[in-house]
Amino acid sequence: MQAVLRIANQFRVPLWPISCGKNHGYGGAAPRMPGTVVLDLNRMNRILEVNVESGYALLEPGVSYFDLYRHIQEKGYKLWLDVPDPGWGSVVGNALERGVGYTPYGDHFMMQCGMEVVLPSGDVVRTGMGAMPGNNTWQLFKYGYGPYLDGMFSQSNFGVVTQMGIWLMPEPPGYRPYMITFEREDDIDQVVEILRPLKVNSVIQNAATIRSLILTASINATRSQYHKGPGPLPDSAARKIMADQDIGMWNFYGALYGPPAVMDTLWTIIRDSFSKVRGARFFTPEQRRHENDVLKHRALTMRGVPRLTEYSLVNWVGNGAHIGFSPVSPIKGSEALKQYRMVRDRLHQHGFDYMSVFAIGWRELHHVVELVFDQSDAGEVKRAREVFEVLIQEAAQARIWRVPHAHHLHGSDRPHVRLEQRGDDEAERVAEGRAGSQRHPRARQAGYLAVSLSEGMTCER
Amino acid sequence: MNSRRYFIGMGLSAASAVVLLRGTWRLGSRDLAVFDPRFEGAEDLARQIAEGGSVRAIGADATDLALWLQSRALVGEPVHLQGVTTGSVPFCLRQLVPHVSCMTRRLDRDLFVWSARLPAAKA
Repeated sequence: MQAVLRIANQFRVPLWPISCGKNHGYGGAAPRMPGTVVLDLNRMNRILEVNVESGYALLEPGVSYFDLYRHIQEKGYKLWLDVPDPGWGSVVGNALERGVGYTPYGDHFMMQCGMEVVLPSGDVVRTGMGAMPGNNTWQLFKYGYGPYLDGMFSQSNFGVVTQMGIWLMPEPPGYRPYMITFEREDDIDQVVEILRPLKVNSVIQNAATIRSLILTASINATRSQYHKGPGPLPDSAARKIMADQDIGMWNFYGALYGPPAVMDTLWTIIRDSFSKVRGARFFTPEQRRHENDVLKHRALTMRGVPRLTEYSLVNWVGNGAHIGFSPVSPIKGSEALKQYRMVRDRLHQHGFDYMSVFAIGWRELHHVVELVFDQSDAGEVKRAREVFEVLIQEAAQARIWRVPHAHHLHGSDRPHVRLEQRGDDEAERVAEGRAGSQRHPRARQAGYLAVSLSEGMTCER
Repeated sequence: MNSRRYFIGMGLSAASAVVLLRGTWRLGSRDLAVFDPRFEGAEDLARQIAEGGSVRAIGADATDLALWLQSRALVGEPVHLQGVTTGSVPFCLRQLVPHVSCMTRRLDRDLFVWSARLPAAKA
């Protein structure tokens, strides 16, 4: 790796490092700039260490969530992963993209501890406590001494991470997934307002999600099974889906972890809180009548079992591709409602259905909108790009920060990146175009100078 | 290849799809044909394609099938899979098992007929 980077630097060859190349929501394997050489780290796939006592693993970038899960199961370790959806990507890659999962360890970069990085110069750096030879807390103490460098290697192009520590959750004594359905679109305001204190006070323990009707339905149904005409799904079809699948306009998926007494207490608070929303209904997996019910799938994901189930969402329109648009806001009901209405209206105006999940972070709300379209329909592709531009502009005008979320179109072109100005030619040699590392005049226009973003439509084409 | 009209105009009926697949892949051992039970006719077509081989319903979730194919790839066993499913299934197979050769034909808005072949590992 050192030799490769030295040579690339010497001859000014741009590189695009990938781990498994399957964290599609954060960019995937396709480089942005013509002439870039893909640096495929897939075969650097050793699980260097799993420490059960302290709950961590030290991994190379080619280790996927499936690999790590399989290893832990085979060894019988009482440890859980935290997995994204779908779960086929690299553990290291996803954490470096600051990806998320759905257990209490759902903030993957927060759970990262210590990394080894090869710089564009070929030098090797070990961050945190790893900088001291023979140290035994490299994967235990995140910060070490002095400036904290690890963040510089996330969503950036300053080096190639060749080893990374990740904390793993000890298997809890109890686990209870649950689902709460809400009947009306505007319930999102009240739901999020109830949710905020529960999350801030850690009553909601995990990275819970609120999924829209169609996103939930898409796991088990296609649009044409309910509506064959153009334009957004009519209300009558939406109500039929709700009845058929026994889901709401919004569907909250959470889980309880810990001893039974703790789970009982937390559940009492959660249930009492959300019961204030008129028509709210509460479910456990055993109460769901369909074999492939989404709660049963979420129940696996919220306990760290990697699956590909979520990819069924692209079947909603047939031959589907998807673009992600993910504004971030405070956990406020008024914000969620405002964003929902804005995005829904723009998507409907362009003939698309609204599909989203509100993912709840420690203090922030991610509105992950999935724009699904038929990639073989040139008109639909064009409209998808148009509405995506509209969403970006409106979010910029509303000063809504966007989370890097650049889906690619099943191997074809994918949304492109905004940028910051960089003067470091050396840094730009690695992953040019990744996470805002390329100059783009429109960044100035949209006021993105201070933020690195990795979504948006390429303007060169 | 941009609209439903195209497929109707092509007259790509289920029977044509079977002929198309036969013409492209040499007949040999068939490990499994899968279908999505949500769609009428999918099972019948899968049984036609399987020609007496194993047939199984899988729905839209490709996880178990993809992991099984990956396990075969790791030990170098040849596999021939066929399916009448939504598009995410062959896509997931291609993503998780890069060495698989996959051919896909769209039957209608939602449904695809596909064939995936994993060669034996070279000695």
